[in-house]
Amino acid sequence: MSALFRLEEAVVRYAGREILRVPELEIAEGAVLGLAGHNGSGKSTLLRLLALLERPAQGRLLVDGRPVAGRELELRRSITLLDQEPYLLRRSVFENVAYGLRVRGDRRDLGRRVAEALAAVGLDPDFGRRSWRELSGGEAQRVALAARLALRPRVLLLDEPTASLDAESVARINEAALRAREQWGATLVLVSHDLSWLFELTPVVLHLHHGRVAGYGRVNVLRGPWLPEPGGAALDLGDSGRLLTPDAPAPDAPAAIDPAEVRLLDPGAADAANALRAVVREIHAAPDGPLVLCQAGFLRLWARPDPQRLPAPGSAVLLGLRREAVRFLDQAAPRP
Amino acid sequence: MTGTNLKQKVTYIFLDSHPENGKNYIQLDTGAGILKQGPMDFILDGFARALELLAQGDEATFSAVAATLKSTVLAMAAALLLGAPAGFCLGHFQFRGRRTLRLVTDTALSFPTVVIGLIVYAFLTRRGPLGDWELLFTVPGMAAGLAILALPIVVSHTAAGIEGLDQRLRTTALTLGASPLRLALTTLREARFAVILALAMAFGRVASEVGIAMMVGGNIKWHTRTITTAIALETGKGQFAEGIALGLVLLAIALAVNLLLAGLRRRME
Repeated sequence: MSALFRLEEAVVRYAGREILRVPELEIAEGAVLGLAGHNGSGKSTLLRLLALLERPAQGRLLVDGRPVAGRELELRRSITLLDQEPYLLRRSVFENVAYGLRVRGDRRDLGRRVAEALAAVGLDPDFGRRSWRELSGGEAQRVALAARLALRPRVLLLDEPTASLDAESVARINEAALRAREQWGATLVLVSHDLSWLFELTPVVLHLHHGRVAGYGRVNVLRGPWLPEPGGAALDLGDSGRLLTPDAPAPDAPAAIDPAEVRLLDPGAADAANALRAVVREIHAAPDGPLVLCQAGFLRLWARPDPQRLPAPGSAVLLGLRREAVRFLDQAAPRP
Repeated sequence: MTGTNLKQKVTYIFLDSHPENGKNYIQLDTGAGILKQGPMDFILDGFARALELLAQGDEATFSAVAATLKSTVLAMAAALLLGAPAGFCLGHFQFRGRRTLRLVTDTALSFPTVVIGLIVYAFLTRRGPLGDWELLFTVPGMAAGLAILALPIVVSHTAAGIEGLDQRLRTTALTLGASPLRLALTTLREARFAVILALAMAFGRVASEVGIAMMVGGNIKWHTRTITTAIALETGKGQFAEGIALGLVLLAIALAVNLLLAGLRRRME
């Protein structure tokens, strides 16, 4: 069976400038995929590509193994996108949530379905009477998500849905998104720069950097400044030591480190090459095993520890890395 | 001329200074004696007389009101039916020459009304290309000129309203499954306040217009004499009461139309 989405050598350009290049990417039906990266990394563009709002200037996008051309309207009715700052139509909350159903000519049980969608995001059915003007940022976000959930979409694309929300709204949105997957097998693609939020929802995270795929899963992305060093380059972390790397293509070239490559050493093993003194900040129970967030100087690094020997938060550790574990992204071949 | 209308018997107007306070005053020789009035008196008297005229249902006044309403309604209907869709297309779609068209409609906003009057006159006069339609000195002819005045206002402000809409509206409607037609209708609905504002502005210009109504309508009593042309005429004749009465009616119409539009806007929110 073909994947729900498949991108092949897809390139998106704005005004002649390449802003995204994805050599190959497949998203299976029912998957939960995270897209991470800094501002301008191309993650929102990739989401817009999947929402069929952008067309690749080069390469192609296949949905269900077939090209999109000529099926845009039909496909858009099963793929829906929630923007970071969603736009509400200048009408009541009810009409906003009912809009997608109305454009499909699907008026069956409209009241009940709108009320259900509002309930899914923790809003009372009476909320439907409110005007678009009378909502706080968090309420607007929840109404906008309810408008998408009411459609029971096959694909739900969420762009930074929790960027400016309070903890309760974030929890509601997580819950509603995951329920969509459980109830009707919705495929979720979530964009965020907040890795800990993404990893709460999925272990499958695609990292983007300057429009390129930097890696999959939980990846540390470093941005220098790299100093020249015999045999390569180094990142000066002050009292924590120096992180030795291969030759840096530029002083600010981005680099990635797989957390599995970051070993937690006993503090006594001071002779280990490329060792950094660090403090354990957080321990995360990710779906694919525990992860530890360590702070070494200004650098925060994810490490994958031995599940049998978890360090305590706040404890001092020594991080061991091979020099080759640091992959400069411009040279890194993305793994399919 | 017969009848008891005081003002129709005026034969002489004297301007003189008052022997006691030195201020200018007017002497009206009405044939029945000389009336003396102070500087504000004739305006206040005009007001009182205007209310009297309106209360009595003066036929000439109401004929002018009717001509104004007819020509304004016709002109506004044409401007809405042609201008709102044109303005929408100009604001919504991207096509070659769009910027040039926008420049043309924006420039047309400052078209002098006498020039519009002149052009429409030239077209409608017997020697003109549309002379056979016999629209010169008729209410529809006047309405055509007024519609030309209103059209750029409706087009330009509707287009600006559509252009000013949030870019996210398009993405939102599309990702909620809207077809291109539905997107267009949703966009128009989102811009409804801008369209209403455009209509209110166009109405203001059309209702208060003199040049086109005078040139194309001809200011024919009982026929194409509108409120504004009547005011111009009556003031020229020194008939302030009629002028003020008509002015009050025009203001009342403007108030009623704006109340209607404000109510419509509130209902749409």
